[in-house]
Amino acid sequence: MMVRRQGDWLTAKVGDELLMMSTQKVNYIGLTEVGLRIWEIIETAQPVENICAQLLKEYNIPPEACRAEVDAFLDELVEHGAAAVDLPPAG
Amino acid sequence: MTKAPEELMALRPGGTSVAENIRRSIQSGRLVENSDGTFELAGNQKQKVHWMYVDNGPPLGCGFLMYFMFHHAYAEAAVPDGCSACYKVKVVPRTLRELVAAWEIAKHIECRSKWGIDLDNPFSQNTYAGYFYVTGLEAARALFKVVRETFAADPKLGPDMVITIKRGCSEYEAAVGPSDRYAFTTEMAELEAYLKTRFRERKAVYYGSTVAARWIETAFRLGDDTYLDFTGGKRLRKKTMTYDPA
Repeated sequence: MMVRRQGDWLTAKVGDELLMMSTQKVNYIGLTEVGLRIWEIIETAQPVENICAQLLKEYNIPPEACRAEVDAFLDELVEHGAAAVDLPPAG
Repeated sequence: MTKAPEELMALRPGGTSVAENIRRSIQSGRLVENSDGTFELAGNQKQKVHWMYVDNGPPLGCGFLMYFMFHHAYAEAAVPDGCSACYKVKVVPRTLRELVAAWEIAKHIECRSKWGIDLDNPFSQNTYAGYFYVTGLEAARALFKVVRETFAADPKLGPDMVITIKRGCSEYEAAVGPSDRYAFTTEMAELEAYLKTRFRERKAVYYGSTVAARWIETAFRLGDDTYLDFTGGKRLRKKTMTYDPA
């Protein structure tokens, strides 16, 4: 599964608050530090496995927890129209 | 000497008794009486989207005092006794840059405060504001000095910030008159202690990222480009094309 950014978004840091805001619609997504890192990693389209592998290098978290967090955040990005997940061709 | 609940509910802060005021609020759908005799405000508590809170102090109890006692029990005819010692040091940042700088400093001042957009406050003419909550005028004056000196020393704020001391909420003065003439009685204190036991408070949802998004949106709409400090210089919206009228 390849993940790629969609739409035009900016990231903002206000005090301790991290967020993404759409420049095309009134839409925002609250971010954690890891969420922001995922957003940075997918600046170029990436397989989900690559995102997890990169995070495992940078954070001390179990692989299953990492994958669950990545999946949850990607779901949120897709829901807000900020990313698309391309499934591999069938067959 | 403590009065019986019936006597307290018969107090008349305005033209009608507290019991009658509460009955009217329930009848109009603004207040709910639960089967256990407790009261709660009707409807969903809206998400708080304008303010960042600095919880450097005990809770204030505004949900009970302002939104229940003042609006319903006293029908806006009296200021709650629980608010008698409430003073605020109000700070008026001119830009989002100043608002965030002041908020960051406030986190290190041992006093409860809130920071945000004041545009939706019908009693304020300010775009941004910060409020420190203090008990008593002398404490407010002491805090004013600290705030003035601390903010003046910050390069993003300086000595020209508008900082004032006010008493309680602006709604009170609008409804009851000048705050130096507020009247409080021991019966009011007893009534409020009694009704506190019958008030059920539901906390509003609070997300800091929602507030931050609102701040940036508002700054953009007002033409306050200091929001670019927080977006890495990226504009929230692109400028639309315009055409030569001739």
